[in-house]
Order: sequence, then structure tokens, then C-alpha cells
Amino acid sequence: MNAHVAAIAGEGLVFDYRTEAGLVPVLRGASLDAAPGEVLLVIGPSGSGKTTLLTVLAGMLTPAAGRVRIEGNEITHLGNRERSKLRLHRLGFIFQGSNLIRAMSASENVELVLRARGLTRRECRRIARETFERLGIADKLQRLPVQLSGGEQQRVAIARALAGAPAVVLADEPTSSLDSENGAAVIRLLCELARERGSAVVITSHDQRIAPFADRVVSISDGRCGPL
Amino acid sequence: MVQTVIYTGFVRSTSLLIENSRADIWLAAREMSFLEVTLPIPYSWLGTARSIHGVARAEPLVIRTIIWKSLKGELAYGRVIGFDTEGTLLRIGGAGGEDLRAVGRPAAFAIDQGQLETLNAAGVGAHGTIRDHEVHLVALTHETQPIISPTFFYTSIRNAVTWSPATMKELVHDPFAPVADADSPLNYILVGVKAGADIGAVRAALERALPKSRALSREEMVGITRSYWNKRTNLGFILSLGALLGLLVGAVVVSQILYTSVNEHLREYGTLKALGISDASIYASLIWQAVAMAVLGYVPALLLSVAVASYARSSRGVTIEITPGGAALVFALTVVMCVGAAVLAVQRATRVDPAMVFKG
Repeated sequence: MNAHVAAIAGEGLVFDYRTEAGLVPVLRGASLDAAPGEVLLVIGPSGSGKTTLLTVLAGMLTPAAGRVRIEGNEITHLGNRERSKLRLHRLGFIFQGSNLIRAMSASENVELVLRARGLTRRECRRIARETFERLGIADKLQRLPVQLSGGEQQRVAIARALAGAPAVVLADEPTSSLDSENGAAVIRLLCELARERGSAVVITSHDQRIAPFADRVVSISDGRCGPL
Repeated sequence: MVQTVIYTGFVRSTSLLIENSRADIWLAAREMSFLEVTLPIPYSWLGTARSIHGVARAEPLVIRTIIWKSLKGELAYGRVIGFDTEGTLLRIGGAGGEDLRAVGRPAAFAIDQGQLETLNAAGVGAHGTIRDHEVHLVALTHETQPIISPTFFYTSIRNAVTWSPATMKELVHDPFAPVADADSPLNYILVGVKAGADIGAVRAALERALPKSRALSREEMVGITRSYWNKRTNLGFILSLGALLGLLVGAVVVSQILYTSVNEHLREYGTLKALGISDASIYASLIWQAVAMAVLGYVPALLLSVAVASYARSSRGVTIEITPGGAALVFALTVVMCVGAAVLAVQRATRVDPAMVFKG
């Protein structure tokens, strides 16, 4: 891959929510990019459009204007099926809650994505085990999500996001449900693992304490991104 | 499942006598509706049938309606099945050579074991009267009685004609004389063809020789009888409606369970879509859930059906046979029903917006 190509880039993104009262502008030309292995923190208060920005970058919402590129390829014009395929193969996600599948073990939650990518069951198990070992939760492989603490669940979510070495990990308020100690541990692990695997990470949060772990911090305000 | 088994058991029971026969061809009046409703045919057809090239055996069969009166004076409606007790083409379940010889004696008859209660009879040796003739039960058969028909009294042709209503009695001056009278009416002639003979050709030859006849293969006769009960009677309609309702209720229940399950796990489906899991994979998981429900529902229902069939057989002599083919068909229907019922759940799951997972 060309080292000069951003892993992810949003250029002039515009997005409005349609409500009964009319269009509510949320993004008004927001732009950002992250290089492979870079951890970018997008910080802003509630309602500033952080989550919408992440959703647009993930290709789940289509911007009214602007473009999203993943590894140099524009995704804005892609259909739902292509975007879904792109998310599966090149993106990883960490949500506010861990959003693990309750009926599956921790390992199966990770293997699920790898299996969907076409890896063999044996490969999936090996990758899941190695990732769990790296995250210090190797003894939790067979636990169900309800048998894990919040911090452990979020580590499993990190494993699910990074096990397949995606180009980009999009993390939406990943520490919001954790205490400060667990939150710091989770973010440190996320950043370390992403750097090891060359994955760009875009974290949206209102929590300033995450900033020391990021390579770069931008703020979002009035639907636009800018340096903090 | 249970309704379907009862329904198929009912339909199958209507043709047990035909299915268990060894006749290759059932010769009847052209107007025949089904086993128990047909017009008489002349006894002389028997000789004609025997003269047809390729016919190995031809045996008479008469079916008459009678009223049975027990020793206590209780009445029951019945059908006398008069057949050639020395013949080989009609088999009555469980009755061996000794029994058949006994049934061939004057005033003797056999019934299905399950009909004892209907006739208020204790067992072999029970007495009663049919049109003032004292008759006695000499043998019991098994799994020969249609569920809905009146009790079948198996006996000789001579007895059957003797016990028939007055209009028939006129044809038999001596109640115990052999029925060799060319004017005596029969209802069917059972035909066995010679080994290697072409059944189709024999049937065509019979119909040519007897223009007012229908020469049906055993399978056709079974089909006509089942079809009559199925399509031309309210009972067949009601039972099939019951089976259909059973399937519909099952479909609604499965549909509700799957739909509720999807609704309870909307966030998980959203997560799967956000992660990039394809719609096809989500369809597949729901279809598998539906198939699993079909299996989980089918196995206990099959066991229950076996129990119901066993109870019906032991308590009333009613044959509800669960054949491997029938069980497989019901399983296939159950799977189709469950998979069909998953449609709403699939629609709900695939309409989930993956962006919902970012909304806290």
C-alpha cells in the first residue's frame, strides 16, 4: 500500500437529519484523515456530531456532500452490499456498549467476523486465541458476554475489531461505560494493538483523558473538524 | 402433526381392504363411486372374467348393508363383506386358514377386534342376529376396519346374500344354497392375472368383454376410495381442514416466536449488519432457527402421534398407521411451514438499520 495514502479520509462531509421540523444540519463540511497505524481522537461535546461523523465514515449513512475514502478508494457511491463487504473486510468497530452477541462465547464473537471473511474454523480459533492472549483475556475465551465484566467485554470488542487486522478501526465512545482505570487500560490496549497491526484508529469521545493515548486530536464543533 | 397423522390415518383406513387384497384388478360396475357405494353386477360376469386370456383367478365379492342386533337387543349398523373364503385374492388381516374356514361356515362371521365394543360383543363366540338369522362371531381380524365406516362383517358370499335385506333375499330361495345362480348380483369381481401377463391388456380385455364394467388396478381402486372420502364427504373436508388449521396455527406460532425473538435482539442484528455480515448470512441463521424449531416440534409430536395411534388401535381397533413415507412427508411439511413462517422475522431483521448501533 502507498504510504502516503490515508487509511481513512473524510472530505467536506455534509449531513442533515430530516425531522418533522425540517432538516437539522449536523455535519457542515467536516474533514479528517488518519494514516495507517495512527490513532486519531475526535473530541467534542454531546450533540456535536461525533457519532454521525463516525457513521458516515463507516458508510452507514450517505453524506449530502463530500467524500469518504478508505485506503484511497471512495466509498460514497457504493451500494449497500459493497459497503457491507467493505466494512467486513477493511473496517473494525468498537461501540459505546460492547455490543457482543449474547448467545455466543467471547471467542465465537471474534470468530464470527473472521468466518464471514472466509477463514477456516481452525484459522479463526487460532487468531482469536492469539488476540485474546495479547489482550490478557486468554482465560475468557469460552465465557459468555454476561459472564464478563464491562472492561473484559470491551476487550473482547477490541479483539473482534482488530483480529482481522482491518485498515481502520472506528471506535465510538469506547470508554463511556467503564470506570477511569478500566477505560485507560482499554484505550491503551486498543492503541497498542492497532499500532502493532498497522490499523488506523478513529476514536470519538468527549473524554479528554483519552487524549494522551492518541497520536493526534481534533475537535468537532458546529459540524466541522479542526485542531484542538 | 397429530391432526395430520389422524387425517392421513383416516384416509388410509378407508382403503385397507383393497390394499391388503392380492387382486391385480377390481372389476366393478362403471358407476362405482367407491368401495362401499356401487351398483350390483351380474353373477354371470364372473364366468366371463374367468374366460379372459391372462386371468388366473376371479373371485366374487359382495358388500351389503345390514343391521346387527346383539343378544341384549342393541342395534348396530354394519356392512357385510361376502367373499370367497376358499379363495386367495381377499386377505383379511390376521385371519389364518383355520379362521377363514370357520368364517365360511353358515351363520359365521369375523370382525375387526376393535369393533367388539361397537357390537357389544365379548369376543369369539358372541352371538347376535342379522335379519332374524342367528349368527355368531368365529374369528377376529386386525387392522381391517375403516375408521368411519360401519362395522365390516366378513363372511362367505352365501351368508352375505342370506343376511341381505328383503330385496336381495328374493334372489336366494334357499338361504344356504350355493350362490351359483346367474341372476344373483355381486358387487365386485377380484381378478388375479397369470404370472407374466400384462395387467393393462387384461383390464382392456375385461372392459371389452363387459362393456358396462370398469376394470381398475388395485392402486386405482385405492385412489378412488380415498378420493371419495377426501373430496366428496364433509368428514374428509373437516379432517383435512383440521390438518390444515394445525399447520396454520403452527405457522402462526413459529412466526410469532421468531418475530419476537428478532425484535428482542434487534441491536444484535444491527451489530451484525454494522460489522458487515451479509443479509444472506442473517437469512440463513433465521432459516436454521426455523428448521431447528421444526425438528424440536416434530420429534415430540411424532412420539405423541405414535402414542395416539397406539391408543386408537388398542382401544378402538382404529388403524392410524404412521408410515415412514407419511412421517417424512409431515416432516417436510413442518419444515416448509416453519421456514415459511420465518419470512416476517427475516424481513424484520433485514430492515434493521446498522447505524442504530452507534446511537447508544
